[in-house]
Amino acid sequence: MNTLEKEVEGLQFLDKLIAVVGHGEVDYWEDRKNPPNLSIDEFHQVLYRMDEAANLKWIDRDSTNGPHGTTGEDKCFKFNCEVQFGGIFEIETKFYFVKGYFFDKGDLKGVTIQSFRQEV
Amino acid sequence: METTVNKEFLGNTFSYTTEVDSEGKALWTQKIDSEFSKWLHQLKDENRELFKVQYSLSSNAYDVLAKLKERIGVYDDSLIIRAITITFINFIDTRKGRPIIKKLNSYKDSGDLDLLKDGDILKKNLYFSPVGMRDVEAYSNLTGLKKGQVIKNALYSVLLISINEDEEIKKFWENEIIEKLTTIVKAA
Repeated sequence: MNTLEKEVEGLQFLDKLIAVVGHGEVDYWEDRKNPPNLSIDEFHQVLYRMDEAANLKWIDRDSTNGPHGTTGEDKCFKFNCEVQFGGIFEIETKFYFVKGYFFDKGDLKGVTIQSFRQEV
Repeated sequence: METTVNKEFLGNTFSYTTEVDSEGKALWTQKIDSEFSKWLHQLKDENRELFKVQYSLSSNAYDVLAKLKERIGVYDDSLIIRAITITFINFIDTRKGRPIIKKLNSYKDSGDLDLLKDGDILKKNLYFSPVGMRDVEAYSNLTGLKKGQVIKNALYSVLLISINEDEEIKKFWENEIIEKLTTIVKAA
């Protein structure tokens, strides 16, 4: 069991994702066609504000794109979340969709985020 | 398929070569992130003004800030306000600080905020590091606040926390925020 696997052992899904993003490798597929074209910096900001991964589902992975496409886990996670930004300004609640998979299979090194978008 | 992709940041274009899938999604890896950071540092060396954000605060808020500066032992406005902004974005207004932010909301109408906003308006400039600017830019994009408002949101929220008498908020202020602000200021 490697260091990252030890770190995430026993964690709930969302805490595991946060730990892997914080301490592992992240491959991020940025959607450049469909607005709002959220970047990895925006993904980080949203991730640390998530309270819950709603409608979490594990589905078979089709895509083998990217450096870990063939070595990553066979199942993808996908979930929705809502985020409330705070402070003195009134900022409306935002909703997001996240899809990705952990890599490598049996030797956790990081996570690939295949999709991260704001939902209206 | 390897393709050259352009990323716009602060009105400038960062070009990088990466894998692009059939849907047009471009892969961002840690290697590209490092190249982007290097590019941002060069950009700042060439034009520091791009990393400047204008913001305003009231003279009353400035007085409260002066007490905080004394407490932390810092005499430079920029240092403390930068530390406040980054601490607010990356720690206070996150999952960890959520209970305090929620509690603080109930004090918004207590009159403290109006009192803080009172007084002459002072206009100031703040320069961010490339890393700090990435955080501010992302927070601005997600919330729809202008970058000057991002600073104002952080500054007034932190000052409100600093003068609040609620036991839980005071504990958070003393045990968490003061330490983080001091660490950032001393490291600068």
